[in-house]
Amino acid sequence: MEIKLIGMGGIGAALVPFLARYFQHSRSLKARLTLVDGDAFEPGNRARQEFARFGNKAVVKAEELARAFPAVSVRALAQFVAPDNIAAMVREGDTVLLAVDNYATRRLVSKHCEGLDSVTLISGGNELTDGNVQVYLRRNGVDASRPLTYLHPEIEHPTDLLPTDEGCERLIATAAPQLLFTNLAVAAAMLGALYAIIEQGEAPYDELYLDLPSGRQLPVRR
Amino acid sequence: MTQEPVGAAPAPGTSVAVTYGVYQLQLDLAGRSVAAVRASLAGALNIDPRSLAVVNGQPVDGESVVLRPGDRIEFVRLAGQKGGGPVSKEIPREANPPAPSRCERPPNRAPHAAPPPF
Repeated sequence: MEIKLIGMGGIGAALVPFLARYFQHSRSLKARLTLVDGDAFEPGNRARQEFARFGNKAVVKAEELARAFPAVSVRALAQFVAPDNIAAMVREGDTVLLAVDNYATRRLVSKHCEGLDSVTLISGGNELTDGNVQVYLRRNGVDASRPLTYLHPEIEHPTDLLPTDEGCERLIATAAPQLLFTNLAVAAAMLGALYAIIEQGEAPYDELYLDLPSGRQLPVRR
Repeated sequence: MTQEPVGAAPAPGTSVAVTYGVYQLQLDLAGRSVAAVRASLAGALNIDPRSLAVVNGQPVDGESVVLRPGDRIEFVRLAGQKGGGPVSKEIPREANPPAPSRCERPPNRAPHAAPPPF
């Protein structure tokens, strides 16, 4: 199973140790994980993220996972997803876990997946105390669920930028506080969706909403 | 799935199911337009003005559509935008400074290189 985890921030870094442990101890499933992120772990990330050392997030986390889970093949791509590299990053048959911090990358990845015959795309995002997970499946050239852009104009027409297009001033201006627990809740929901797809062969929902203060979750099919 | 009636139960035959994010309500809204429902619930549910309205699974073309008993309306909550970005611009001093982040790149550095073959 070829899994691409794009984004090693609050959600991705929370998700990936459990993902690797699951495959390390699975008797029937073998996975190759590719971690993708062009960003570096820095002091400001420590409130929500754990990395063994400073450095590129994908590289550092891949080193950690390779040591802890030797049965799982882990690779790192120290790059942001961009229009000129996505075709090499996301390929036929891939399972993509998308945990990025901007709508522009979600659009780019979703549009690319629309052109593939078979792909599984699970995208998670959050605000301070609430979040959502979207599941987009294509099987044999047909949509088995809707792309991330469906009914989501903020993704179809993003006002934010790809990380490769961002300047530092904009990055700082758009930085918003996040909560570790919300990252964790979204990460768990993404893994739950992956498990359901592995076991059932289909998505458990098109979109899942969750909200920490109220303790609510709502799966939606459209 | 959660389902929470709010206030008095709607009269039989006037109930409309409303969904926004994690909230799913049965309300006495039949006969009202989508725009009127949005306006009346915007404050209570904090509905983002950019969220699309979907009635019985179909996006509405204009919000003058009038809801009928038994209809289902969803205001599609915007996807969570974040998930990994920087938490703060305040970076504490470190004894061992971190590797350069994306905001410390030389301005002429190539943003990315072609990935290795898979």
